[in-house]
Amino acid sequence: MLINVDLGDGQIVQRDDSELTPNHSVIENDQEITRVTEFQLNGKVVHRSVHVHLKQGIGVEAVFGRMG
Amino acid sequence: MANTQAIASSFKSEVMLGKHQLGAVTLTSRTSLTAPTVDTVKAALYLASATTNGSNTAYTATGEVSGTGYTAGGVTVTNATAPSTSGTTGIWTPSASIVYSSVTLSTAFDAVMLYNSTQGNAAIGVYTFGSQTITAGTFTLTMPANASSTALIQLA
Repeated sequence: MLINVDLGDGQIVQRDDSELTPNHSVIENDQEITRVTEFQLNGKVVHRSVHVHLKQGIGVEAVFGRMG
Repeated sequence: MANTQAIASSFKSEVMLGKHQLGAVTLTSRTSLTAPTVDTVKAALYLASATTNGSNTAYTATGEVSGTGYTAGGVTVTNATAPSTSGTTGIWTPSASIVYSSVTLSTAFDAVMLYNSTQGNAAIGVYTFGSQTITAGTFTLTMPANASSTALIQLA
């Protein structure tokens, strides 16, 4: 499978995943679940994709004022 | 210097002005009585060193990320679900994940601003997450469930 990589020159090219070392991690807290997929070439990260799953948005309370 | 998660203060009053039409068209347009249109919502990413928060009234390029494959202003948010009510809470959540494909963002970022590009880039809110970088990859923000206690915007 071909993987998009950046070898450090800002250009995105493709390398076969057999040449790369994969690393996957998952972080979960109250706000999010984050899955990170990295591929390294000679010890250097050349691909890093991140998927953040937000668990909740922001609430705003509407307050009804008083008359009189 | 830090980004702070918050609904834009200006958005709260603009809702009462009818400035934002999120999701599927349900109201008569403010600009045409015969051809109502839904507003376009966009999502821009901000550096962890930036200071975006609820006081931002509109999209700003200050503190926005830059890098290979990223266009200033961010990406368009898929916005096919109209706001609704769950119990006593008004809710709205984009109908699909927000995706930045084939990008390299080398400087850490930890916030996204949603804003209404149809209405003068009026800010909707800033959402924070764990600091990230991307290398020749994809950054995906999957939305929470569109329910009373989890929706991206909850007006209780």
